[in-house]
Amino acid sequence: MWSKLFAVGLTIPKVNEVLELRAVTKEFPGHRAVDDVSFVLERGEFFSLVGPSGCGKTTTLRMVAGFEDPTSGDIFLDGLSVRDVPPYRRNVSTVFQSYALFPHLTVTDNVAFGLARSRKWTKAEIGAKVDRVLGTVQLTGKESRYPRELSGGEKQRVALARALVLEPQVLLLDEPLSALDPQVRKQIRQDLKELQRKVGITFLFITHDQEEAMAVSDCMAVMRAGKLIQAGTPETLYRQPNSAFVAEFLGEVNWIGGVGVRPENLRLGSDGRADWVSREARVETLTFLGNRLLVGTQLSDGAHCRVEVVPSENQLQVGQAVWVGWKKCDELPRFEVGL
Amino acid sequence: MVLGVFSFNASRIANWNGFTLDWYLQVFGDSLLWEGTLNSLIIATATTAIATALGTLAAYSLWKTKAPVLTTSLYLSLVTPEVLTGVSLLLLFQLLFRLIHLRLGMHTVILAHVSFSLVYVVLVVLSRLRQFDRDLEDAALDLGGTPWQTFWHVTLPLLVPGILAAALLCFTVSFDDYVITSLVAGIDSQTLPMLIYAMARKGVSPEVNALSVLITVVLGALILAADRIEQRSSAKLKA
Amino acid sequence: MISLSRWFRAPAELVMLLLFYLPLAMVFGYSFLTRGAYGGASRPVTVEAYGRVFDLLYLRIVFRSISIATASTAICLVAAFPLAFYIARFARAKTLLINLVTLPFWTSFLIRTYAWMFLLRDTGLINVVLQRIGLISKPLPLLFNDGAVILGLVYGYLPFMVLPIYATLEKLDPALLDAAEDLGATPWVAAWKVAVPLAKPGIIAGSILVFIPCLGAYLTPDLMGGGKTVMLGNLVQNQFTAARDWPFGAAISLVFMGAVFVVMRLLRNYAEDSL
Repeated sequence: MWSKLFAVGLTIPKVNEVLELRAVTKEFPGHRAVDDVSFVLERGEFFSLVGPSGCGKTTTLRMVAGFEDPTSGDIFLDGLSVRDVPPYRRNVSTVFQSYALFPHLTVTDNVAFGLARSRKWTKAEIGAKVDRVLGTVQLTGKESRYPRELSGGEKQRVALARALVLEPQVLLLDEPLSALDPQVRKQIRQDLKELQRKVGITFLFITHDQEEAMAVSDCMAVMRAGKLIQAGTPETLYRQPNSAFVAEFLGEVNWIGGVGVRPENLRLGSDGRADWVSREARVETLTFLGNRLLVGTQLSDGAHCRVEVVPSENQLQVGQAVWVGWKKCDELPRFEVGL
Repeated sequence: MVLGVFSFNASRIANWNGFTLDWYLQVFGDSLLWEGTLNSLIIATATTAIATALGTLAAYSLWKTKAPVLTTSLYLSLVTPEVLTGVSLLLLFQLLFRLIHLRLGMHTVILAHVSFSLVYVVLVVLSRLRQFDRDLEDAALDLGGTPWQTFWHVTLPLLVPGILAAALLCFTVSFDDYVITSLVAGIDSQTLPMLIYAMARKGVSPEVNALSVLITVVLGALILAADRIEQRSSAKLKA
Repeated sequence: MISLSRWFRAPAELVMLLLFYLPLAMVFGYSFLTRGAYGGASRPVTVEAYGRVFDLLYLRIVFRSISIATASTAICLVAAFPLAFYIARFARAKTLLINLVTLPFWTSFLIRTYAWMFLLRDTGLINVVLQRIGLISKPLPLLFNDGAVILGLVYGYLPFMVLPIYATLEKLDPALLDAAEDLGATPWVAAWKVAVPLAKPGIIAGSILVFIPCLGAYLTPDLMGGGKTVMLGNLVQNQFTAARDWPFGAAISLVFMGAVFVVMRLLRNYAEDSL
């Protein structure tokens, strides 16, 4: 019986999986934007797709939303293939980078747009849903405003409300924070995380900022040039990157004799213990950053190394001889293939 | 700079004949002129209604997909001299006369006007669409709107200023046309430009002066009003 | 989404097919027929009409049309470029000024042409003023000649030249001109060496939009030239009304269109595709 189901093309959904991409590839004339990408989102998860500009994350998002068709591979929502389903029939909602609020409609009408199109609810029901979601994003009182009268943060919340009110299986967010002022970004980031936890809907979040992704995600994936390089929890990716690219993308790395160590794991001075490695070095540069001091050193074998220390009374001098040490367990794992 | 102001001023004609209003009265009393004006108005309105509707839809379609046949024909119609357009339509109408006894009249003029004014509508609406934020349509689709619903509820309302501008252009072009109209109009469907031409051909006359001033004033007022409306609605639709 | 687009453009396509392509095809067909006894056309089928197009008499008209159109286009260009440049670069109320330039376009072309007649004729405003001042003793023959036709055409089609050039210049980064001046060029040189080449697409587009209608103009030569200046447009119109030689008129039209097509194809390599 199971084999018959497989033949029909149904996969047995693991109850927890809400979205699956399987070997998805997207080719444009001239280049391959997405190359054999596969990953899985679990229900209620905050998942981020990170990578430098042009790595294919936006194209991937658009395929999940339905605006692009994969050249090959398949996309499953709750176990059902949505490859041939147009965006207006997928239960997936998007928050656009530019918010894409309808300028000729009030906040209420914007939020109600999707509900009104589906004809499943009466006016009263729609009104109640809109009120409720506006309360969730803390926009009560702004119902009859127009988008041009709102601030950037408020516009984003309208976009969120508009997408959330449809109770999608997955909520897609396309670089939602990049249009905001830097000061506001961290706060909104936190608000988004809390909102997701409160509402419980699965979020698929796209950004090029790795710090942002690590701060909010339960799980994340790094993409580069169309390929998915590594996926896992932020901690896993940071501590155990599978490639130099991921290692360097998520933070600073010092390469010392074929071994990678992060600056925060380096110490000045030797400890002599068995689980410590030490090297002789000379201080080259000193960069004061307020809460930390970056000490640029050159080791005896020529390698350069940046150590992060807390500024202290001991005045370091350029040219001073020091020992640079780290715990063996803080070393980054060796990679199979150089990337 | 000077040229800009000059071209604006030169279109105003002073009536030098002792600043009398007599000629204006004569203009108003001329029933032939009234008939011509009425014909022109009817033709222009009908043309605008048809051409604006068809042109807007065509522009939307061209914005989304390529259609080389339509694009070429529109571009060619823009570049074809009016004489040729008029003459070719005359031939067509002659053929229709032989087939279904269609006589030349206001209906043939309207058909002719729609043919050559379509491209103006498409140009205006298409240029507005090019400034349109595509994300808005994507958002509508994403939220559950079908392509038609997206067009009707999102794109079209935001396109209204552009459509009105196109309609105004279409109306002006149709109202003012002489060459094509003269070739395809029947005997009993004289338009205002045809009458003006006949009068101008005979030479300058005070009556024509008065008429010209009137028309310029009315058209000028229309343009200003249209501009005022456009500014107000554009401001409302900025996100 | 694709099918919606196809439905949307269908009516327009139908209109263009029936009311543009079909009539043109008919012109094509007629050009091969012979003049009928009472006008109109009939068999035999021949290319005789085309042969007559190249008759010396008519070639003169062609030549005159080309020279008038070229002169008008050139003058338009010389007049339009500084204007467009000024508005794009220096003016503060840009939209207002551009609207002012295009405003004449909205008022009736017929009336504007008539206005020029009023101004230029022997007892017209200009001659009267000049005579009153004492600059001239006899009225200048300003109307009913080739010059008047050119003036009329330039005036009528100036906006068609200004707008494309303005559109191109407006997108020009002012920093480029500032950089040129910074490197030692005077404003004039900067404009000539930087703005003009970069505005080339606009110049080409404007030139097409002016030259071709000028070539086929009918109203302006008729009114401003007093029937003495016969250009191609007048010739064709004549064949279909007074002279009643439809095949000949059709042949002329098609030769003209053919030439236009060739010219446009050549220039398309430089021009921006606006549609």
